[in-house]
Amino acid sequence: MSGEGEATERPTILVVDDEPSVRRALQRLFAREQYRVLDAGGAEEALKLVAANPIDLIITDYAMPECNGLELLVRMKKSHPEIVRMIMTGKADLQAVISAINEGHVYRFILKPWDNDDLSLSVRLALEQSRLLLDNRRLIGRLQRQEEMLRTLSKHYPGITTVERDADGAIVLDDPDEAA
Amino acid sequence: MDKPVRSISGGFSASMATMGFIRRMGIAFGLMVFIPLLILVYVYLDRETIAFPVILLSTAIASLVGFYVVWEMVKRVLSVTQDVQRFSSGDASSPQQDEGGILQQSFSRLIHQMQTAMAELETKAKLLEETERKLGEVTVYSAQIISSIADYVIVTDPHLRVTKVNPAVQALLGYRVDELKDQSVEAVLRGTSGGDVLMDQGEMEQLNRAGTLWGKSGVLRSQAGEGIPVQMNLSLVRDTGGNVTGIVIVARDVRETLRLVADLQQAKSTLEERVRQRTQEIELAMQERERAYRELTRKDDQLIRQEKMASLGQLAAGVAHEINNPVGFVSSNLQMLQQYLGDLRSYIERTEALVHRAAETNMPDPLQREAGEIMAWTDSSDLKQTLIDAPQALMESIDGLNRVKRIVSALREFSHADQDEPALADLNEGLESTINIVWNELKYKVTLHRAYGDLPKVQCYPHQLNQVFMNLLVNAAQAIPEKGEIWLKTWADPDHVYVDIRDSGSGIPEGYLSKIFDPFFTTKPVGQGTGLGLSIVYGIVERHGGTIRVTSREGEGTTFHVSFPLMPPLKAAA
Repeated sequence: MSGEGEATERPTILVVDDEPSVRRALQRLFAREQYRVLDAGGAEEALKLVAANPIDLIITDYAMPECNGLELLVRMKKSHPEIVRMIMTGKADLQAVISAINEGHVYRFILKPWDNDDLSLSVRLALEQSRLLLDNRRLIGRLQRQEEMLRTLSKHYPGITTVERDADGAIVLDDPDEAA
Repeated sequence: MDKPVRSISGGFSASMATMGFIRRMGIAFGLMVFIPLLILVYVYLDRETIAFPVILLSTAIASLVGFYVVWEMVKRVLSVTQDVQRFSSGDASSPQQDEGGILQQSFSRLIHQMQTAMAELETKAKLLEETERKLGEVTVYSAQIISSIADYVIVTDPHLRVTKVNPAVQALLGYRVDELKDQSVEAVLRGTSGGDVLMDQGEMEQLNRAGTLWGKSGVLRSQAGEGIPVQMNLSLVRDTGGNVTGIVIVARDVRETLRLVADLQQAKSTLEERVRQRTQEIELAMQERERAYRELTRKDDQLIRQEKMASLGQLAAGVAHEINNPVGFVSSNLQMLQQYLGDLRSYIERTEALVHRAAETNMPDPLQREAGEIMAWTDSSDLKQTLIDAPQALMESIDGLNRVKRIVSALREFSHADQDEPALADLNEGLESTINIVWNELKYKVTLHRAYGDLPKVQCYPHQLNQVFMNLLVNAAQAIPEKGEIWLKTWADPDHVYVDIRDSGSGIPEGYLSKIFDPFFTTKPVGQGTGLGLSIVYGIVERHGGTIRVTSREGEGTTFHVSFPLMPPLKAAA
């Protein structure tokens, strides 16, 4: 897990599909969108890459030999919940969609053949949302720390954390020394 | 006087002797009478003169003569007797030729003749006796035969008066033997040809002509008044001279026969009735079977179609993944190539402009020369054509791929991958919104007529029903070559809603009608239809428990009749 402030400018996308042509096609698309793209031909390879690299979003094929995309995402959710998960399939299997959403908490279920513009948009929005979430989380963390600091401060200096106002809304400074 | 007698016949030759005997006897008789008569006359005239001697004498003469005559007669008689005796005892020796002999001869001749006649008579009597006996036998025989005949025998004279009946008639009719005699037979026996008569004119003529009349039916009337139906044969009886002496009627009681016939007819009609009933039952059963068979065939067809659909759905689901993978990256790459090509084009255009400028301005020589060479190569090469054609080629490839996507997506539709939630929908609204979607296909060529009835809402997958309407509307529009009309009609009954979509298009050839719902069946040119439109329609209608029928006439148009139950047995989404 990379540090909060260290997030690279270019988001990294991991593409997992057992078919190299699909991987390359997605690489072309995302590279052009200025993303950093990693690709894996299977679940094991993907997990290794995830362990070694900061990944923002993973798109995996659903039907793959050995380990299917959903299992991969379920494992990924446990180890790296912050990575946005998307799944693609050429097989319109409603049950698969339902379980993908429920079990793998996937952000989006994409049907093959995909439309480049659609997919780009989905990825952009997903990353945006992810970034917002992360930012939100980071900011909440900061807020909590600052509140902690304030509480400590208030313990030592009671009243320092409150602001009094008069009827007109003007701030009342009841401690002229401090205000000065 | 003798002569004629003798000449007559030798049989009478004895008469001469007989005549001599009669003469002598006559003399003797004369003397016997004459002498006493003379005495009496004398006595009367001269009584007492010679009274006593004379009386005595004459008495003595008379006695002598008497004695002689008697003697002679006795002698003759005795002789004849002897002759007769002799004759009868067989001695035929010739008798004496005197009166006695003649008499004797005559006698014996007579006796002989008598004997002969007697013998003849005896023979005839015997013959007669024999004949009588035989006749008796025959009569008894015939009487017995007639008596023993169970049939009714009535004999009449030529005027149909009864002369004889057999016991069977008496027994049957209850008349006494003599009661019927001399009565008209028509009192007890009538023909059935009508009236009170035994025979009509025609039958009478036939009987006279042929001598017989067979198989005539009639009615015998008993004393108790009962009518007994009979079948009879009539025959004329003729004497040896050929004259009709009577008619023999032999009648047979046909009550039993008639009863049997009636029974038989009853049985026959009963049988016929039963046969008719059975036939009817069989016909009904046959019809039922026929109906069941048709139903079965229809169900079978339906089942086969469903089976086909189902397996196609499975196939679609199975191959979709395999197809979608390559289609996915090919399509993605083509889009990328379009972008790449755009990049290349702008690069080339800018470079070209630069080269132009370099070639035209006064630049250091090698650069200007090289720019000129590049321009010359560009002009001579196909680069310009390539730059024009490449996007077109890409465009066509993308179109082609989109077609593949449509087919795959239709197949996916088929395997009902994306089902929405069932909802209550107004099909009129569904039709309207579908018309809006396909309006572009309709507006220039079709005049639309709507006849919407009030419809209750139907429990259904609204999207899918709209898909049905869309496919049918687009099909209808496509069946219209240039300009035409489409009629929409909806109505409802308590259980179903009905939608008819009729077009004035080219119609469906009869041979195709059974195939139009088959997947991939299409008459459109390659690439213009997936051949799945109507299969999808069929599948959806089927899923909703509805029916779809098509009626079509080539050159006049086609109507699709669709119906949906208000509460279909919708299957839960898979």
